[in-house]
Amino acid sequence: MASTSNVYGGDEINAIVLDPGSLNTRIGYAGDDFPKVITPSYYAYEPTTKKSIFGDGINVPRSNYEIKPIMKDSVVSDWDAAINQYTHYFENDLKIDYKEQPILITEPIWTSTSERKTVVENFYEHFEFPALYLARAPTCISFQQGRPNCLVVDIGHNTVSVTPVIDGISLIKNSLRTHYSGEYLSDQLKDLFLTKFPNLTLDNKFKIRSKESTKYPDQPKFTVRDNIPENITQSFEDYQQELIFHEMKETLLEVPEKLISEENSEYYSKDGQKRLFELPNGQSIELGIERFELADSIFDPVNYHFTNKQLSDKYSTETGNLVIDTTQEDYRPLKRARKVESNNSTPPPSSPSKEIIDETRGLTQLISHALSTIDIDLRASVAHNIIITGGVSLIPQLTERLYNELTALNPGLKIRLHAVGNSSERVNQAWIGGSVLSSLGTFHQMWVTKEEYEEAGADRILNQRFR
Amino acid sequence: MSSSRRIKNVSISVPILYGNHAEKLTDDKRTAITPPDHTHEWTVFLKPVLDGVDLTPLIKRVTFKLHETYDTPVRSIESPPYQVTETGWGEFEIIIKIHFHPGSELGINEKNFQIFHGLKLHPFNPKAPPRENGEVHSVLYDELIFQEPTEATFEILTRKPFNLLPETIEDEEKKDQEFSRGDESDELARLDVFIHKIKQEIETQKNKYQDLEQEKIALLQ
Amino acid sequence: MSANDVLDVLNIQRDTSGQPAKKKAKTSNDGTTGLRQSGMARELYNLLGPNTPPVNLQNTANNTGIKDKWKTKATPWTLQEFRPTAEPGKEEGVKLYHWVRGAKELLQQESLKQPYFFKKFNTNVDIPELVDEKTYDKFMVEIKEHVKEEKKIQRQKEKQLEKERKAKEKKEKQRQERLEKEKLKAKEAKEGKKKEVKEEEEEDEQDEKEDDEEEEDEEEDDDDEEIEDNEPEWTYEETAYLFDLCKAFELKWHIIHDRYHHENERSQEDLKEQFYRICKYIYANDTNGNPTLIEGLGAFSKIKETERKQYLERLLRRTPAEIAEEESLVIEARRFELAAKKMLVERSNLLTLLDYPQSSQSVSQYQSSQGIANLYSNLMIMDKNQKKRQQSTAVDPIPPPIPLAASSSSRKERSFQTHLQQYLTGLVKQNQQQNGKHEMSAVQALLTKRLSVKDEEAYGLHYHNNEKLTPGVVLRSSQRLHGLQQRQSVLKSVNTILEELDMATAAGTSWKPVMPTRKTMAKYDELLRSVITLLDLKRGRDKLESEIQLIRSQKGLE
Repeated sequence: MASTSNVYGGDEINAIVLDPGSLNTRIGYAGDDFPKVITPSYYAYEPTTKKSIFGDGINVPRSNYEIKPIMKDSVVSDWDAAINQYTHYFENDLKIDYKEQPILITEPIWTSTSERKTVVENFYEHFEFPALYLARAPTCISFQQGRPNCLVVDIGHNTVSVTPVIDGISLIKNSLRTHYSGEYLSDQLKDLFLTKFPNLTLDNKFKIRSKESTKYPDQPKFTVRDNIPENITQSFEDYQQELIFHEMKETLLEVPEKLISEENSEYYSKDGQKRLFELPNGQSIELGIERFELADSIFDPVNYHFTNKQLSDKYSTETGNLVIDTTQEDYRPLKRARKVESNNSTPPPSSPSKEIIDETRGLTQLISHALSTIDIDLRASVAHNIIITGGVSLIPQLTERLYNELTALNPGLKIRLHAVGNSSERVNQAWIGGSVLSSLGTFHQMWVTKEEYEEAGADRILNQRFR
Repeated sequence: MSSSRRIKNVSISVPILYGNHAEKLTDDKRTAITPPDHTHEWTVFLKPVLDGVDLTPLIKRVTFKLHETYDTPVRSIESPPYQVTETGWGEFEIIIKIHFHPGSELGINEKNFQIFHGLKLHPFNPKAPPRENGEVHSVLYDELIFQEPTEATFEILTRKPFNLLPETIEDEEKKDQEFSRGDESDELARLDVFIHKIKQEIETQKNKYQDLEQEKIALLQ
Repeated sequence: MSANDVLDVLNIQRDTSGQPAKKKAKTSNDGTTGLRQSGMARELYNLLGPNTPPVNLQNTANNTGIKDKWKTKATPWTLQEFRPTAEPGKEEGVKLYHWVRGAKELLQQESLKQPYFFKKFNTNVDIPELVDEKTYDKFMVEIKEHVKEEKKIQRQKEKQLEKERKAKEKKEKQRQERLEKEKLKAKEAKEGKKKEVKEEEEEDEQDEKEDDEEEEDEEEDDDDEEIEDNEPEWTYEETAYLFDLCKAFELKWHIIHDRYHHENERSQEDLKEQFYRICKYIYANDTNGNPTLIEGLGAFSKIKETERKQYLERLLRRTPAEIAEEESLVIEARRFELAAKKMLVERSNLLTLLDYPQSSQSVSQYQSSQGIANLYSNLMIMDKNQKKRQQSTAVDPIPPPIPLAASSSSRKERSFQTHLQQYLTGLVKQNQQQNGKHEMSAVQALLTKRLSVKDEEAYGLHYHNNEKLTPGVVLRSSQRLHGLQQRQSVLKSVNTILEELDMATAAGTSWKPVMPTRKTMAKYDELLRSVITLLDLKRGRDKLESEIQLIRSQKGLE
């Protein structure tokens, strides 16, 4: 008994860890250092036959199949599809025996009570898992890094969130979140193509049979495949375009050292800073200062406006303050049946400086503001343990720029950023943290069993157990 | 007994000259033994500035170490004048070593120290008119300082005032061979000029510094 | 041993020579066996020779290899039920299973005896149970009164201060008025308007009385005022909720405050205050409470905590300029302290010096000691000699051996002795005392010449005032100057400056004047020192400039 326990307190129960994200969903076994299944949070759906396809298979062009998203802002938006997806993976890939294994599900900070309720209900009643736990994603990340007091900065696809974690527990009231992250960058790219590359046609890969390399603004030269199925839906095309944008983001973007202004724009326009990107149709486009400007937009969203009105409406100015709909019913002892006091949105506590900066917050300002709202006693240790995670954080020079700006804004604090080097680890950090958490020896009493759920009801266990 | 005691807090200095003279070797000076490639005749010496000074009670001997190619490169001179005359063609470094009398008179720590002198055969000042016989003098001034001399040393050194350098050197010819008190005052004057310059510079910097301080205080308010 | 294995490895059939297959490491090493092997075996043995190969192919260490183990039985693993929290007999939690090494029966016995391994990590904070509502209400009433009292006291204190301040102001005013009135009086006295003045005085007194009365009225009013309560009251339910959270989150206040979902907005200090207050009363009620704990709980002051946090916040926001200022102030304060200390020390030194006993004992014992002892002896000698000379002018024990021109006139100059002279005379006196002979030494000879400063120079003599001199002979040019005691980097910059001035330098330490005499060396030293001062000044100036830049940029940012 001692041999397995001594290592890190692990005691193998083999729970399942499920980490649904806006871009990808990760499923795997606890105790593993990597999820077995990493699948996009989208599915292909044929409305007439009502068939769904999950996984990488959605990229195969089929007639009439729509690509639809399952998640929005790290929260499930389409439950039927979600259940189908999970069933598909649980049964086909992981071959889970539902009754035998408990499941740990990660959730973001800003979930509302109703959303959590749905999760709990579905997993107990539909899947019939024997035990379940809802873990906040920043908590998982702090466990993965092994830092009990930290500030988790998660730059994901839909959202950028900044959450302080104290003693392993995420603080909700001091969390901040904006939408200036991965999807924002994709939209910026889209906008860029409208303005700077007007004659560009983004032909998707599945159409192309053979291609010759050309350079924009020359016309692309390629031949079309013959056996493309008819009736390819617009959502499919859009999705494939998004994939191109992903590739562009991964290869091209680079964060400039400082805000791009007139002084240093020359430096960034130099030839040495230009990069070529080859589109699927063989056409190459060259981006120079644009690739810096794009990456810079995360730090300074105010100065980067969309030309397309639709897109600019999508991103209203955000201060990052979270408004959580916590219509929780406070736990009352049974003997006193009092009126339900619903607690409405709890804004973050007013900082001692009493400055309400009602402006758009770029990445640095967001983190700085979060730091300033943390209690003064904790601030130093939290500032020393800032964890940067999420796919967008892999943009080169992002951490350096962030470090420089943060130390400039907070001269009194010793800022230290931690970012995992391994790129695939960084993207899946929350899942790995969940795996660590659920394999801890002391964790096993935290599982909430189905019996408890049936006895007490979803609300009560949400209040009591998943605080 | 008392002669071996040291007089504390006192030092005596004796000015000396060392260096070399050199002149082109004319045919008449050549003897049978001079090798044909020798071009110059030179003399390396060490002597007190004033001619009347006698340091023999203190100095046992003076050795001049010449280049290895010379026979007996270490030439030892027991009595004044401490000098070596030789012929040669090349310039090299000569090590002049002063050996003091050992013994309790002068103390245990009288290390025999050495002076390095570069032998000069060719004129180094292109502006000066070359002399007919190709005379070149490289003479350097220095002072021997006896710190905490024993009473015996003290006596020897105070029999006559050694430090009295002449004020000026009358003989034009000898100007680059001899040093005078006037040279010293010239040097002092030169140094004074520099010091004055620097002090002025310090003043300006100080004023600027004070201005900056004012500025800083103004900014902070 | 090895022969068998070698044969095994080569899969050669052995002639049955009666040796059973052995698993032990050593086999008998008989030279007789195997000699009559036929065929391959013989060939092999021929190859091997009469001796076995020197290499011991078998491991003689104690660790048993696989071969030994392969026949032993494996340890069984059992799928055991997992009961992390349950006491034996109690069913709680989901039934989870995991594989554990060991035989089933053994494990069962074990698990009954020993507690669960991770149980020790289940810590719980010791929080008192919240009492029932009645007692709670009683507590709250007491607390409220207590709070009221405190606020009253504080108000009174503030009022006192206000009063005093006002009184002071008033007195000032009155004084001024009186001065003016006196002036007026002086004028009017001449005009004989005394009556009016008197009336004015009476009016003044009345005014004062009225003012005092007003003040008293104000006080009474204030007392009757309700002390405003800025915070909402703590109901029983809220307190129960608070206690629940405290237990759940183990008194980690930051988390408790974060998860506190209640309509009343409470700061962290509010929560702490309420909790500690109630706990204090609970413990106080409970007769076997810990008195120090109760006192400790009462020590929590919400105001102080909030102030402390604000102070820390301000501290964090200091600009680097302020930090630098503070540091410099600290350094200055320390310097002042040191200076003050030094003053005291010097004072005491001076006092002792003044009181130093004038002993006329032989001072030769000081002659061999160094440093400070020398100083004392010199002082003594000087002192003594002056006294003696004044006494015995006639006695001149040193007949001048060498007739000199200067001797006659120099008696007047006796008092104007150079340092050297004084020192030497001192020495001479010492010698005389010690030896008792009137020896003529060169020293004495020299003394009698009554050298002037110039003469001293002529002799190349120099009296060093208590400098440490190493005995020996040194070359002037090789003397290390005091001013050159600097770091290499500083020397390099000094060099560059001198080069700029067109002075002859010779790479740092080896500079020497064309004519190295004491004077020139000293002058050069002075030059070096001033250059170094200049460098320091310039450095300080650069620092200031960069500081100003920093402040500017900070201000520009703000």
